[in-house]
Amino acid sequence: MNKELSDWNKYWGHAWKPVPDVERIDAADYTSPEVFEREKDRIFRKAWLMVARQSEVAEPGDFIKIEAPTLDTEVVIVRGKDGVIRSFYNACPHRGVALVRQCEGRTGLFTCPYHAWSFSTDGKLKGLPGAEDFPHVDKSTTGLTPIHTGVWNDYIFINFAETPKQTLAEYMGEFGEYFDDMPFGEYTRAVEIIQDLPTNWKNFNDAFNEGYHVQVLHPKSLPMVPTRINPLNHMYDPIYLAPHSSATIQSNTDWVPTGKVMLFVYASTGVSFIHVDGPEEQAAKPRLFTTARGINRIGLPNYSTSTMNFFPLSQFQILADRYMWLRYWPLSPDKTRFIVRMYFGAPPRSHLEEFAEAFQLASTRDVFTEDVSMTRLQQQGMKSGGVKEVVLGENEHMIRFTTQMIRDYMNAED
Amino acid sequence: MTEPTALLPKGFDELAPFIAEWGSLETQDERYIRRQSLSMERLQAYYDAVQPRLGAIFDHLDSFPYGPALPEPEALLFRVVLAMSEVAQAVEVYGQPTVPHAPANHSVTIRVPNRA
Repeated sequence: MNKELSDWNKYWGHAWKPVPDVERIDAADYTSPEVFEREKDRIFRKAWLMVARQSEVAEPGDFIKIEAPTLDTEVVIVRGKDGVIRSFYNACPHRGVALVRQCEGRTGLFTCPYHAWSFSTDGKLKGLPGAEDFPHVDKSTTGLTPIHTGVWNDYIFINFAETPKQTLAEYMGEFGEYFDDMPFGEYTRAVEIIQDLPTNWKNFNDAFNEGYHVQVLHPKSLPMVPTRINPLNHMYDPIYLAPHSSATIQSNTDWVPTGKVMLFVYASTGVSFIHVDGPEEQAAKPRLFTTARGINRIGLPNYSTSTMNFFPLSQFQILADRYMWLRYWPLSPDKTRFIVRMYFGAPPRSHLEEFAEAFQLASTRDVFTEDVSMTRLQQQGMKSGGVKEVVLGENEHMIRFTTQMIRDYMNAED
Repeated sequence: MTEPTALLPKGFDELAPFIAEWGSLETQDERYIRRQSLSMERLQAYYDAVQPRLGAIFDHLDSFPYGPALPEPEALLFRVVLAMSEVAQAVEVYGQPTVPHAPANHSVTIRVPNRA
């Protein structure tokens, strides 16, 4: 079998030493209301948050209304007549009404349903009935309250700080440069799973940043990942470009699918959800992402997926047939809105393709269900008081790294 | 009362025993919840009947234009075969109807957002 694959062991994460020395985390960091309030102020009001894709506001006048539930805030993101994407608090400066009621649309003017104050797509106050009664309101300085907004690659980020410490370009830094040729926009079909779950948000970051659990928790659903030479599924080639991170994951090319329906789906659509092909087959059918410079730079022959963490709440998982955008919005110490948005190459064009998509979605949902179940049980155990701290192995280096990033934000000078 | 077999396209009559369980479900989540409620024997019976016909079923369905305007017999057949997206997980992956460790009657809404 793949004897030469052991040459790649040197890329396992624990062989790398820039991993901060975080061996234990207080369980209270996952359960305490005080810690949660501090996280809101120190992290979620200060960091750039990845919230939408440019294609959601493709044309001038296109807007979407999104939630930042951690901060009890609705945000209107709109592309102006000048093509610039801006974000505003969904709050009328007259008497506070959350004026935009549609989740998406196209308009030249936002009009408040209470007294018809209206605002152009750059947020400026355009009109107010009975203006003579508001001599103290200067139209030129009154408008929707802006939120700092930036675009990296195809993605829109917002920052709730009055004056962010870094521009988005500075925040993305080398990580942004490294992945700036990722062709996200080529994937046009979105399917989404949204769940509010009884667990702390950091449990999601932790769940999707180690391969250690895969063989134990997913023996039936992910046999195509751990290999004989890497049974504990060390992630390869961790990239730490603070506060973000990325890693590479193998596929088990010894695995032979036997499920007849699974084989039918793979054969009829030509794609599985991870690369299960050997190197020759992979080379023969290159997929969009495998041409990007940040993907599999070590040339792992049995490359399957990449993960990319955009601190603090987003992760991409790059699969063979799609990419998945995970978000974990904290709602309380014990509750998280977990959003998985999957972007496929195209909408189904036949009944067979719709069936294949349904099969992949069911399979993906089941794997996430296994992960999510553990995060729920973790919270249960942590809340019980039975553990004062959790302990991290050297193979859980990506959790260590993000934990250090969280500590840096929590302890930063104002 | 019309026999349910009358509703399926000609040549797919043997799938009639599964109409009651799967024929009226419209969403992935409804199918997921139904999968959890059925015994392995019922799931296996469906699997054994439908899996060998997958090629023929989609050859037939895709002889019609893709879209919401399928004739009712074909629309019914499509709803019945979409159940396989769930049944296959139980039969081929887990060997049990439910996902290990999942809450009872687990529900997960899957939606296509208006803006992608």
